[in-house]
Amino acid sequence: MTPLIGAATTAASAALIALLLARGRIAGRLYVDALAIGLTLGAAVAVALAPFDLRANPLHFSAQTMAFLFAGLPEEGVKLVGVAAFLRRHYLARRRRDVVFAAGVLSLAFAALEDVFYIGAAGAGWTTLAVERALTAMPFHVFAGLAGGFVVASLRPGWRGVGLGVAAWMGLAAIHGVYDFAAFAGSSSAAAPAAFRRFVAAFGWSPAVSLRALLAAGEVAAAFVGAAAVLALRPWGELAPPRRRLPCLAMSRGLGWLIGGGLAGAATLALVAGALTGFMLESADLFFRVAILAIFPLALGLLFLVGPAPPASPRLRRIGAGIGVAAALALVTAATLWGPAQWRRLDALRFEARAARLAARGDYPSAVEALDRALAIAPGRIEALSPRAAAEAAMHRYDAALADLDAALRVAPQAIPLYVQRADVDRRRNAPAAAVADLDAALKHRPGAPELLALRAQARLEAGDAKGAGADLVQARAKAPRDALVRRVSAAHDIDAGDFDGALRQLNAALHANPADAEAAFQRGRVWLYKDEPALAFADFRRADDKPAFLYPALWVFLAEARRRRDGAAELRWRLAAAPSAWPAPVARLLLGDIGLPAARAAARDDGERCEADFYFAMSRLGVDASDVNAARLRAAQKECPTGFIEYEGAKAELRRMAL
Amino acid sequence: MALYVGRNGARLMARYDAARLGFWTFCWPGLIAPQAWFLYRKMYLWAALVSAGPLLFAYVPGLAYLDWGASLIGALGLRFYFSAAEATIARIRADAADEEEARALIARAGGVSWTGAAVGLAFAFSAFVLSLKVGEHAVFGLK
Repeated sequence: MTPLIGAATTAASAALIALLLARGRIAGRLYVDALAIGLTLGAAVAVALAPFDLRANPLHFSAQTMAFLFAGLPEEGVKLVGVAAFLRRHYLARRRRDVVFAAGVLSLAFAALEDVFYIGAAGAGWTTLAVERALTAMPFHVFAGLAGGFVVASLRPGWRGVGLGVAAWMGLAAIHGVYDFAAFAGSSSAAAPAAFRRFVAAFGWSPAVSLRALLAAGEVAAAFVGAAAVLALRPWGELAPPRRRLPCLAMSRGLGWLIGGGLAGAATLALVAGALTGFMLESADLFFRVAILAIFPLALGLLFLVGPAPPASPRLRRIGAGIGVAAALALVTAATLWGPAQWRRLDALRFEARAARLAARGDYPSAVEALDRALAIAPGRIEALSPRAAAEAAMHRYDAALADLDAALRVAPQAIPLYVQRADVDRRRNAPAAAVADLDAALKHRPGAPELLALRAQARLEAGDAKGAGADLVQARAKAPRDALVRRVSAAHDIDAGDFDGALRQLNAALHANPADAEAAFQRGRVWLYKDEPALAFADFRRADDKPAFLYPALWVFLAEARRRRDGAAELRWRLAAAPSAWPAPVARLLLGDIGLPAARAAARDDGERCEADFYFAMSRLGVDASDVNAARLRAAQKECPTGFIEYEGAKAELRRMAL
Repeated sequence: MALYVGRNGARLMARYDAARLGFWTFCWPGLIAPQAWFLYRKMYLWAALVSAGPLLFAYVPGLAYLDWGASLIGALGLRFYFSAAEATIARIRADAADEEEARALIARAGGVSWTGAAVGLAFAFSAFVLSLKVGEHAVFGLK
């Protein structure tokens, strides 16, 4: 999001609210005084709360304390006191309407100043915050202020009036507190209280979604009380149009219809689209995310439509009715033309989202089934073909995966990620030459792209073309010398050539640039093991072992421990419990001695998995069995393994070390 | 003007007469607690300037010295007060239907606000507490 959008949204929101309040036709001097009082009170609250440093929250106040005690009660209290002490007694506040709209103006200035402080402290992410606050916090303050203004303007002197005022303060502070509690507890700086989490868990709701729902509820409450306060001031019959042309246009009912229709129409469209998409994706979260941003524009739009304005002339009524009918016709036409296609797209999206959840759980057959349904509804969607290819490949059904990717490429022949995915499938089915061809095709669409050159170098290396791989890497390094992928493939090239020190230099540089690069750490760990440095290998494997369900680094941790004559069985058994059924679980059981090599090989689904069983067994027995038996196992592994497998690389490196 | 000034009218009218003759009118309460004095005298625009102004200027590098500007503006408060009062009285007289309405509105526009004084003093106290905290960080290098 660009800074221009952040600044423009804030300015547009403030300007529209200011215009709506100006349409209440309060005296100019009262408007300016209300703005000034709002700024003064906003500054007073900011200075009073500054010593607590609530943003960093060093005293660890809970979300509810910050929301109710430091935000809701003082902010609404100060605004009510400001309205009662300065605006209600102002010499230009002659009617209740003057006090109510002046209270809105006071709150606008209060919110604008608060906005400046929030955005000023936000740092790099200020644009997103500015847009969010322009659509939420700023109108929230104004709607709450309008409601507070109505209460103060309606109070009668005496204790009864004071009591009602205090009750109104508590009510507004409660709405403000609920809104801020949801905002604070949903942010990273404070957590939702345990009682709240237990309460929502009892209904089977997610805390994050419940907090968003609470935020939306706070907004609805504020919009409702604010709009009710304005509408209670009707009728607007006595509002005569101003004499001068520009104010007359700004106050006109026609402009109100135009702005109100646009705002309410856009907000309604967003809400309907959010509700439909959320329903289809089975995600309430999505709907609440949209609703939080759309509630106040909708309320503002409705107030422009039915709020204060001079009576409409018969001619204006006719024009308004004409525009309304034209808009309705345009909507019906658009729905007829594009509606069915959009509906199919949404329906397909539902199954795609379901498939993504299933694939993330490792349930690839069900994921493929869901994607079949998505493609039956909307054929040829690459958003369904690509994940179905990934699921097919995960089940070793490479022909089906390639067929899906070819179909996707017919739809989007310039989609580079599809070529990369196709190359990956080809490497997994041990057809590196085909992978090279896929990457050649990708490079035709994006010539000289360093990441594509690096991937082609890797495929060429696996195809036995070390010279071609070297040429690609020279080009890739010239264009992106610090790219992590280029460095990792360069390291693989060095390992293939037996230059372990060269590989270590590349991987050291990659890890220096990004210490969290788990792939580089895993690769460096393997190099240390090939160099017979199991302690260093162990440290790197541990560093790379960042996904509990991904068992391969844990196998290598076990190998490094075995090389150091240490027992890593307990840790491997604990890791095995996290993924007890998926491959390579049989290999883990083989290493633990729970099953023998024939049983592990029998559990394998293809040559690749059989080679893995052979390789890890041989590696775990190094120094235990006679070396010629192990060498034979490693040679068998090298023969069975696809050349892109790390086990192929490992078998080759270990055999080279044995030969020395 | 006496109707507008309200409380403490005799003393302020003497200052008003002196100001009209071109004499310097120094405002001690404005110097010491500008926010409180401006709000007490219902000068909302000036109150906003001396309250929000220093906070907003703090975002502009090199303008932190304007913290002192609030007190300087407060010291000149009487001059601003008299000119604002004259403008308001003239505006009320121009719009009022009769003298009775004009006098009622002038009295309501002027006078003092004890709530304003309380809000302004609370602001000054909060600013004092904040300055202690900032000073503590500056002296002990706390973060």
